[in-house]
Amino acid sequence: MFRLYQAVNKHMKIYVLFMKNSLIGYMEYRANLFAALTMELVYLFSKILYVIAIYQTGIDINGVSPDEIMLFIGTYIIMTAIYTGLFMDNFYQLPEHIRNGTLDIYITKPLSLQFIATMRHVNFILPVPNLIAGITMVVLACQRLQISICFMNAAGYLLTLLSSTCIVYAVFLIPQILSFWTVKSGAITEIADRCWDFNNMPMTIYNKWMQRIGVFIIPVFFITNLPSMFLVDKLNHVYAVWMVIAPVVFLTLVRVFWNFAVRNYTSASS
Amino acid sequence: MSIPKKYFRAFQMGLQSAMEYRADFFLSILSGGFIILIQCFLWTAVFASTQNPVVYGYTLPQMISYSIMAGLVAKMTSTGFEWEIAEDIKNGGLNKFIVQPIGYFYYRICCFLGRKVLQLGILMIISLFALVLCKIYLGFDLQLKRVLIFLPFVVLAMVLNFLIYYCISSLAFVMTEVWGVFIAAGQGVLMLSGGIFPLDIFGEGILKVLSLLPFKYLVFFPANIINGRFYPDEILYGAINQILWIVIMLFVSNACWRSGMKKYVAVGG
Repeated sequence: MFRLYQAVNKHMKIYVLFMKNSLIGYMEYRANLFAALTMELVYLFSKILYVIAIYQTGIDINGVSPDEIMLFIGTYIIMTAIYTGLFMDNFYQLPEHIRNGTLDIYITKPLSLQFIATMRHVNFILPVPNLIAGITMVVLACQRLQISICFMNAAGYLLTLLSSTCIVYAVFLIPQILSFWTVKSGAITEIADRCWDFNNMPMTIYNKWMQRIGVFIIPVFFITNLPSMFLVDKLNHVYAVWMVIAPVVFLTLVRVFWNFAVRNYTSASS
Repeated sequence: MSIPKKYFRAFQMGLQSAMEYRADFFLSILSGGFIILIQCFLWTAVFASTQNPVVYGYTLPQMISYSIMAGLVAKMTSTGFEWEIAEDIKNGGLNKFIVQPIGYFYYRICCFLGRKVLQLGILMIISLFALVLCKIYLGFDLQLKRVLIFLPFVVLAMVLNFLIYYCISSLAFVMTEVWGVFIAAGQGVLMLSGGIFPLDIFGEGILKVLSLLPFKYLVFFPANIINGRFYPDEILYGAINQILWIVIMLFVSNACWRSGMKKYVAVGG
């Protein structure tokens, strides 16, 4: 137990250093900073376009009101901020590390290889507009839906977001791990990215089977829908239990898959 | 080498490149199909949840056909050469075009059309297939004459989009890191051209403003020709505007490039 605590503590300290290095990098290349910000603002507006489109119709879509849809899209934007901030850069760079053999350097470090390869970079720029817009939309939707923003609701929502974050890490890392075999993964990345867009709308617009697959088998719908369903009190017992079990299942799965993939890694530089 | 032969070779190079990266192209259609799928589910759910048979002026078959055609037309007119131009400007690849008897603009447009010709054919077949399915399952009013009118509009839209991006790519003369602008411009153009939602959702006022810009002629206008939302005189007016925008963008791109070339430092030369 003590060794586990020590390992976690060490990785946490290293993660703070990673964050610091990433921030220094962003401050150094300010042209990149503005370019990224411009890009993200345009993407953000295209996500808000969905709210505009639904709001103007004033229709409850399959029992989901426009205000609830704003809550869903707000959560989707918050989750986009988390994904782009914590994982996206690392996941995109993984195939590069495999192709160029830079993964060799990480293997020699006295740290978990998966940790260093998938969490080394923290993006401080892309999440900013998304976090501001996402939180604003969620708070606004809560007010309109008369959901009290009390400690219990806030804590519960944060816990569901944490659960979704674990799922994001696992589900979107798996396609990148395939690059241990395919080496190039541009198409895989693009398809995985497009899968992310399935969260743009509440899963109630899809049929029952798609919903089941999207929550239990390839849990893409899990990411945005379950935290939002918690807030509007539509989270049934099965989903509530799954919110606790799913992160454990999928994080274990990704860990096993990672170890299996690393065993097949042939260094590009040797 | 004679001028037509020279540029025909550039056209062939574009065609070869499209054939070489065909897997990439098909996968990009697959990923683009996800967006269309989301839109189709969304609008089906919207129409199923209301008594009103018309939303934003569209019936369900029209909205579904718009969502499909918007996605496909956006793919037909998409560019991608701007990254190569930025690379040429940044790393000095443009040097060889300065010293060789070949015009960079003509070379680029011939390459672009060469790349597009095969993709256009495949996307047209997919479009037709999707529209026939809409007709069978949703009762969409598919008319051959609209399809025939649609074809030249798509080709003009392709040329117009080429010119827009040719202008945008000239930003690489003044910016070292231009990737963010390219991605933002791509998404911005997609939105303003009606590639995500029909422009009608913005309301009458904004639609009027958007009508003063060239973007609506890239996706919204061709996709709605298939939908039969325009009278013949509106189509004629649209065609004149589209051609007018092509002429305007020709002058603008020329001016941008002339000013950019004055700033060009031939790296590696």
